Amino acid sequence: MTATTRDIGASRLRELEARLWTCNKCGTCTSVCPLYSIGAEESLSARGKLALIGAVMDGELSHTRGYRRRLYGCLLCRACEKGCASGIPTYDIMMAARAELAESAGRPRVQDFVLRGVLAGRHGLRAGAAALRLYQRSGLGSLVQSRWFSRLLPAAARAASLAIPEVSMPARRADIAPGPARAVGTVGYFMGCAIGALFPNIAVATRRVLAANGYMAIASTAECCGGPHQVYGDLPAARALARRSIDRFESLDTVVTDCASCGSTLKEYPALLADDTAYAQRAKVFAAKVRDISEFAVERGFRPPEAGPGPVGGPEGGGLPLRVTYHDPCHLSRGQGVRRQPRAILQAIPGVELVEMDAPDRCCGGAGLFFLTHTGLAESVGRLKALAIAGTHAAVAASGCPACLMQLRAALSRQGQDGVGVVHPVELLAKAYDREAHAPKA
Amino acid sequence: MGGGVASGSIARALRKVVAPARVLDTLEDRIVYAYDGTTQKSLPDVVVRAQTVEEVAAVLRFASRQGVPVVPRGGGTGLSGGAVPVEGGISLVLTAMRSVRDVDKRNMVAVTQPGVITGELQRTVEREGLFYPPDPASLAFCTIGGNLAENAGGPRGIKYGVTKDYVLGLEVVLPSGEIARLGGRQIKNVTGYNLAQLFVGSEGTLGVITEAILRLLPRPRAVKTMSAVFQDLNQAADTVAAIIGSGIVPATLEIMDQKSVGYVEDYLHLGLSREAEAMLLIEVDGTPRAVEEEADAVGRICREKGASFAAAKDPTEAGNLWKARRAVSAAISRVRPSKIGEDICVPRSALPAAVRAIQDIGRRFELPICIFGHAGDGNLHPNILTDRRDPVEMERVEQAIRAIFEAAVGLGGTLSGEHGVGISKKPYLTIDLPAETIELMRTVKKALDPRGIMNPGKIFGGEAS
Repeated sequence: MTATTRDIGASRLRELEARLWTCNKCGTCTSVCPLYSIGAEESLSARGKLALIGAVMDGELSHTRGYRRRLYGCLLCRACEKGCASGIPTYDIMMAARAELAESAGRPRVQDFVLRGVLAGRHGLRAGAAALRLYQRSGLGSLVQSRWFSRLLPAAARAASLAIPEVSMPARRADIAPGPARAVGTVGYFMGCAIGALFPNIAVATRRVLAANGYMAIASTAECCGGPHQVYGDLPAARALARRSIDRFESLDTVVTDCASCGSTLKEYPALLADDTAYAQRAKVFAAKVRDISEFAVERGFRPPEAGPGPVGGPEGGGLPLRVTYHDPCHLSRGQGVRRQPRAILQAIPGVELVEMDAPDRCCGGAGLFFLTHTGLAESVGRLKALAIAGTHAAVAASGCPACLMQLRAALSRQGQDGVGVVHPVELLAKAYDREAHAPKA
Repeated sequence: MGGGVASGSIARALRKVVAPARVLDTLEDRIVYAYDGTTQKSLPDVVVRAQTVEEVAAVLRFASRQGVPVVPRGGGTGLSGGAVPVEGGISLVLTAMRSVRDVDKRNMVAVTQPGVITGELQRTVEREGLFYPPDPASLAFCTIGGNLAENAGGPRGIKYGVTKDYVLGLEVVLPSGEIARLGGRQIKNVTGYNLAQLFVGSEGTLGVITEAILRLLPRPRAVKTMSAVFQDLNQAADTVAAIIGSGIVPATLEIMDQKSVGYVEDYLHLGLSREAEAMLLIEVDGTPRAVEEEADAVGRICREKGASFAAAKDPTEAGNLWKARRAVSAAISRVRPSKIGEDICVPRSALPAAVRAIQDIGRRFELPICIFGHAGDGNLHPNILTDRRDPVEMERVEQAIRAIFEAAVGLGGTLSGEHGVGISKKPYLTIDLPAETIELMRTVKKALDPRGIMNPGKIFGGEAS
């Protein structure tokens, strides 16, 4: 059966229906769900949502506002899926259900404005600064509401102002292009929208790390991988962006990204484009080339930075004398199985002491735009993460995902832990390379 | 199933007796409180998430006056339909009452609210060097309240008993809305009837448990986990008898048959043997010296009986064995669209006969049946893998279930060891209980709940048909 663009979600959901019914409501998912643990509310659990989706499929429930609210009351952190002995693909089912809802009941206009107008605009993220101002002024609580700008949540605006770094302009290619002295290879650098618009320093660090290891990075301006569109049920736009990414990068052997969410979305293009005759095969080839920056660095045997002469961390020495803890982004750990590599990067830095926090792969509550659309829940989830970080007495919390970084910053700040630095692992690695460059050679 | 109109008016009235925010009556909320771990479902008219004993009392007073059914609910993980509101009414959710009130080291008791997760209670008391042994497989997500209402067991039953063995006192709200405090922190108490125990295993049909005083033990200093793999299921069953006969009381003595092991292996890839007909998971605990001695003795017995025996070298290996055992129920549910899990319990000496009888029934009705369970207790979970949507096969399943129950009772056993009757076993109650016994239970029920509002449609009513 070939789905038209109007019913891709409905068709996906029908394909997954048999799996949905294998949920025996055992309740295991409730023990790992960060949202359920807050108040033991059944409608926040995976089995509860599966029951609701099943009720819609059986015609017992219609596409109500309450249904929408509950479908979007999910971090998509995949903890339930990994804990499910029945092997139910809850993530895929949630995504398909959101798409089916968008197809039958429409998408909120503000959502289309942000997702299609800004993130997927023809000019890439040229309009990113405008999006930023939108985040900062209004918050995005209205993303999951249906009335145009009628429900601008002050709480979301507060969350946004705490979490989102001040940026005046999205990073441009020229800002971030130090090439290697002697190239051993060329890779595509997929600079996602959040990195490009909000964290240009991370883009600089990534290219610094690639250069220090002899890789020339080819990038266009910030891209949108289509992940947010999938999350909000806009599969036609997600597929268009997937095709665009493939067109732009498929001539290269490797595509590196420093965004956990982009990486997991790019690697899942084959599923997204499975029934696209022109792109299905190309998507598979493309996805096999995608690597998270940490994954790439470890796979290619990155060069550990030198400590330099003198005491480690001394004024003239290299290295970074820091106690660091690492938070696993859902999209890297459960999404891509990348857990070891970011830690390997941190441990390779002279002076860094890596201390594990309690439950490092428990979702921080950032979850894309969840921290703006569901401020209360995200705060509760973030609080536990902030306490886990504080418990390590680390000076710096590292994580390879821009949404996590924003959420960690906000959560730590709410706990009065503003002193704890929040960085991407490549920023530390790049800094260590820089120090090495400045250290006098023996 | 309750209609929409009634649902709205009950909710409106309830919002006057408890904080309005506790009362949920949207269709979405009713759908997510309609099911439990049996996958049976029936919509409540309204959901109340109580936060205090006073709120529970207010709900019951209201329900008594209006004659509205009340179905208490904890984690909703039960395996006999106890939390399914088969006659609609109020789903009274107790998960928000989730604090461990006191861990009293001097008296070795814990005072806990019903919504506390069992595993959380265990961790809390273990931090004080104490031990709450009952360990249903769902301990990471079931609640103490549900454990008490169903008298939950678990692998440690053989040495440590089940939930009822740890209950010293309860606070219960009676159907009338009165609050009764039964028992206390004393180890001995014969002042009057032992009413606290009456509520244990009452499946929510007599009242609502709002607080429990639970007996604790010192945490065992050492534990050893072992596995024994047998080419012949009967050898495994004989080994169980031999271990018990040797005077050792293992902390757990679990059995998994070939099908169960195979499906777990498909799911977890732990390297378990698929060729063997049965695997025993054995644990001994106590002082380090006693544990060493008993583990050696267990190993000797297993090898004599022809087992391939191994003791876990470290907590990771032990953890993997437990992971395998705890995952059985869910792992076998991946195999076919539905599974129907039973819970018979026979005298320990009848275990080999029970295993053989179940295997025969599987062959006779041409149904795949996995057998696993608490061999040391004689408590087996034969699970029939089937498809509820296939009426022809379901007829055979019904017959097979009846045959399993008849075999169990014929061997001096019972229908359910630790899941309860609920709706799942109520059609078969008369196989096990004589009419006079059922009548005695009904008399107790009527005395406590004259209007019949507490969890109607459970335990009783199947015997008439």
